[in-house]
Amino acid sequence: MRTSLLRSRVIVAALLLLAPGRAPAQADNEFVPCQVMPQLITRYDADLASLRIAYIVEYSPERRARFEKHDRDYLDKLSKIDFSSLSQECQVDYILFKRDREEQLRLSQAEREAVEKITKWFPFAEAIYDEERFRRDGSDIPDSKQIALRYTDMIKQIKALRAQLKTDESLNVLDIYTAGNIITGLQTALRSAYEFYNGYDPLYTWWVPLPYENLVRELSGYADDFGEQLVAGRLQMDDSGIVGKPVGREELIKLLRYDFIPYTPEELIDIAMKEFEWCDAEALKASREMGFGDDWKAAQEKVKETYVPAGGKPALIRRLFNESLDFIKAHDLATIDPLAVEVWGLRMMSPERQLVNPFFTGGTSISISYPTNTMEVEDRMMSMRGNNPHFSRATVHHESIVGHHYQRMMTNRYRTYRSFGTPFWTEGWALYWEFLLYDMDFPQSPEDRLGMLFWRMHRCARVIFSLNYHLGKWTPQECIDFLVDRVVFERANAEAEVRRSFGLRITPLYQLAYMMGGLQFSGLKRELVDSGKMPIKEFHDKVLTLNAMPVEMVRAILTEQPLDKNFKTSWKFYEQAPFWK
Amino acid sequence: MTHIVKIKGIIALILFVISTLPSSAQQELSAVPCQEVPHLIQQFTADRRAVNRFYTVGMSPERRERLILLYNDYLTALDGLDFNVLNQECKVDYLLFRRNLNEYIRFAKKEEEEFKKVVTWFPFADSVYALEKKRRRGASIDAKRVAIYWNNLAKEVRQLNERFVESDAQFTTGEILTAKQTIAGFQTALTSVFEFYNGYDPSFTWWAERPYKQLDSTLSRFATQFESKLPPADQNGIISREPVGRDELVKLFTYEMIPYTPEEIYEIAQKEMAWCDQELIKASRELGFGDDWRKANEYVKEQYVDPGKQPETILRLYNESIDFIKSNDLITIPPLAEETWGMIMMTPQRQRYTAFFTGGWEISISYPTNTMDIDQRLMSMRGNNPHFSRATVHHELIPGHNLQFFMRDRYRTYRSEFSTPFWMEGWALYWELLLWDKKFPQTPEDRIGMLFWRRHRCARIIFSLNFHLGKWTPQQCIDYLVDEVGHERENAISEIRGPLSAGTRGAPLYQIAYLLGGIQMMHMKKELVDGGQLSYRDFHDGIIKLNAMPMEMIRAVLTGRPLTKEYKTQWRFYDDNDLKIIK
Repeated sequence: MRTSLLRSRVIVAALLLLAPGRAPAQADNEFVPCQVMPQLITRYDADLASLRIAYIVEYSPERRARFEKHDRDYLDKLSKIDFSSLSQECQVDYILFKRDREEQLRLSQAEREAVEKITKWFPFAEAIYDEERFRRDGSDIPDSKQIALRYTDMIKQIKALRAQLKTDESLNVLDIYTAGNIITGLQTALRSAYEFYNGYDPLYTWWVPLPYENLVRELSGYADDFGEQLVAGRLQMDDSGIVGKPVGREELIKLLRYDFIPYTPEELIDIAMKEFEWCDAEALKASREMGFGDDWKAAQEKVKETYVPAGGKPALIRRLFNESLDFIKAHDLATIDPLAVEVWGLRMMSPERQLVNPFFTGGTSISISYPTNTMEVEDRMMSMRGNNPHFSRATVHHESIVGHHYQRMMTNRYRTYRSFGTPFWTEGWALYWEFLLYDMDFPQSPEDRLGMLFWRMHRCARVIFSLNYHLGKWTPQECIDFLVDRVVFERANAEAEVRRSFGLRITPLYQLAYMMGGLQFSGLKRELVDSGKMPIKEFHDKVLTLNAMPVEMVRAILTEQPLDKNFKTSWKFYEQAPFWK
Repeated sequence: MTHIVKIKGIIALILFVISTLPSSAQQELSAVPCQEVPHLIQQFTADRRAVNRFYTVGMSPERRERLILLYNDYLTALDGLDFNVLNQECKVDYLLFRRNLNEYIRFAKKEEEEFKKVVTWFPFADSVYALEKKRRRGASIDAKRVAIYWNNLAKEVRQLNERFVESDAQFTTGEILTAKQTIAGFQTALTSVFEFYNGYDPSFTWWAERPYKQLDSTLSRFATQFESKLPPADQNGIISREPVGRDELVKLFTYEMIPYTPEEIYEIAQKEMAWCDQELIKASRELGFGDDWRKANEYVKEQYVDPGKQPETILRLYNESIDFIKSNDLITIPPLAEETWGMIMMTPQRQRYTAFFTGGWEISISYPTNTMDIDQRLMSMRGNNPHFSRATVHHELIPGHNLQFFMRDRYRTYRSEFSTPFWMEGWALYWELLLWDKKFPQTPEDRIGMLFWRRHRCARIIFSLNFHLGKWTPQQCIDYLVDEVGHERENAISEIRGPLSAGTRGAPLYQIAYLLGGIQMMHMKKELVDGGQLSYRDFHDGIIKLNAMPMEMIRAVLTGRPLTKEYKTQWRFYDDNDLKIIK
């Protein structure tokens, strides 16, 4: 099954060997594009892994300073490389590697400021950090009695602080998040020392275990107290129960520049609105064809009612997968490694995961969301309606081939040293295939089209609600209402979506990256394929062998755009829109 | 060796040094030595990951055949490359990759033979595999039929179980292991089907749960029956595995590129042991114990430090060793490696299998806790006395395992496929040999510490070969370690329990690789450093950046010796008349 592909690899390799001068362009795509940048990036990652083993205390000043030094060291190394002597691809590596080091330093500084703001709540932190450092060094034995006395004092200190915290109203969401991370770090430090001495050192074993247990318990209680401030009501923007922190316009712009998006948040909302209007118009067409006139929401209800009975979902997903793959093959849109088809797996999503993932998710195997007998009957109905065949048909290629499953196959095989992953590439590319297939008349019926449009509206909505929230204009409740009214989300699904979107660990740009990345790839296709410069299959194959990176850099490589080492984003990818027929 | 070859070799060596060693240029070692072979290896490892993730049923013929197909595909791909135009390093990659693929196929075929021997007890196997195959593709299922089928199957397995108990079927420990893994594979397949439909498919949910659970526990009982066919444990609680036999040993040595027979290797170990004995007597006399080295050994063991003081002792020993290596300018040590190695205490559970400290990303210190028996505590302290520890801290940390891990993550990373104990343990042990020669031990006690380990590595060859040639039992191996090497009995048992117990397919050559790999390194050092072609630093820096592979291939890269596509192992690295490796 694999021999034909292997043979083509061998032929490429053989060609390479026959041409001792410059390797043929096709062969270039298979291997590393130069030596110096892959080597530098591999070493950076390996060094970082070493540092992570040595410095284990989250949010400690020592760890932060050491990681910053690491980034500065590599900026230094980078500055010694002659940018102009690099090949196009390695110039891109240079630009992205530099960008990432600078961004790390910026985020690290932000972390430092966040910690400094709340140091008064942790007067004992330095002593705990010192103890872990002492234990890590190992050159002296500990004074166990002093440790026991110190821990006892700390417990008293924390008890007093907890009383103070009960009435405090000065902390914001970010402060509380930071406090939680500091406490986790302190517990890591304490545990590291405890496990090193307890049982092995007779004096320590006699003195320390009891005060240690008490101190750890007190710290956990302290962390719980911080957590309770979140739900106390003072920090709620509305009655939705969702607590997050809008990052503000300035930070949004910084993040957009980092991800090479040269638009303002307002411009992006405009773009999303325009795309939404296009979806509305298409939905109306489909609705009329189905006999629902201008009431497309009624047409959508009808589509939702087409769900298959419980137990029938896996066979359906398999059929949809085959339809979509056949379509892609029949139109010769990309080279598909047969191994990817062979090893694509099916799993059922556990009821626990379905609570946060109402729809199927992709990757190495597809994880199918469909109800079990252990779920509430109303939830079962909601799940079946949301996972009707037409909705699923719209995204199976997004999750499998040529989307996430295939992306992972290829990033594991080509340019593996690149660590520039971004949702604009991962989600943008997967969504781009939905756009492309819609345009190529993959949907066979108005029901199919409504299925695809549901997702597309959803991605427009994500841009609009997440930006409005982070600009401080909308509350979480307004975001939920918007999803329910405009995209016809089930309310429970809308709440889960909004809650997930505003967690502090997810980048504020994640939700808008789908649509914007998809538009970037569409713009690039317009520029290269529609203009006749490159066959569509070659375009897709090339993108996949470059590994993940901002789409503007994919463009720079494919168009051989001259680059400067202080490259700034400038690609207004939406200027050529509309991209759709 | 002709002069021409020699000259070519030297030229290649010079080129190598100029192009890759940091001492001669600021230029870093390149990311990959050529494009096509590293790329092919990387593709292979990614493909194998994908195949392993998808075919989850252990021991199933489908999985085995799919992997064999994959290996053959890559042999074909290799065949399509023109070996002769590759540079030296990539010729080495080519030879090793082909060797690995062939070895994987050989092991898969061996697995198949064992499977065939036990599968007669599982006449239902194909139907279990077939159901999982259908489920994997998302097929709809006839729940009632599956329930009845599983119910019947449970009955069948119970009958087989009874027949099995009554039968006088005989199995090797390897076959029993295969049978257990085959049953575990059935359970994986069944569970995969059950979890895919149960709860989601109403009819399946009603029908299948009870028969599934019954069948699953019936299979578990069947697996237990197979275990009852194992031979009885000896007085140490060890159930011996079968020796692999001479033929297999020869194949494994060839794979590892060691062109000696087991008998020759046995002789090497004995010669090395004899040398150690002489040195041991010298040290024993200096300490006033005359020819009774065992007494001297006991005396050294009594020098242990108090509980709580071992970490600072280890740190002191580390500093002594690293200072010595630096002041002798032996190798470049990246400051980050020195900064980031960690120290932890080994848990009492792990100490049951590992009597001495171990290395890697962090050093794991073996020393007693208050939860261990008093006898165990004393044995642990005696075995971990400072002089014994001083002998191996560079083995476990820098430039040994810690630096090896460190460099393997940074250079020629695609070669993880070629990892071998002859490089991993051979390189680490070589530093013990080299430091002895460089007079690192300061006192007779230190020398006895180093000799204890060195004799231990000779002993490992002797007991491994005696066991796998079918001459010794595990008990004889333990007695030998106690009587001839001076081990504490508990420590000797923990040394033997792992590699020689049933229920493992552990590599028979692992224990042998330490000393042989170390001797290979010493030979290369003699050739290149003592021969004046390379400084110590360049020699060591060059090797550690090549990543793990058989030492013969390291030598081929360093010397540029011509390699052909049909290259066979031929490096006779131990010639005690000619080479005088050991001072």
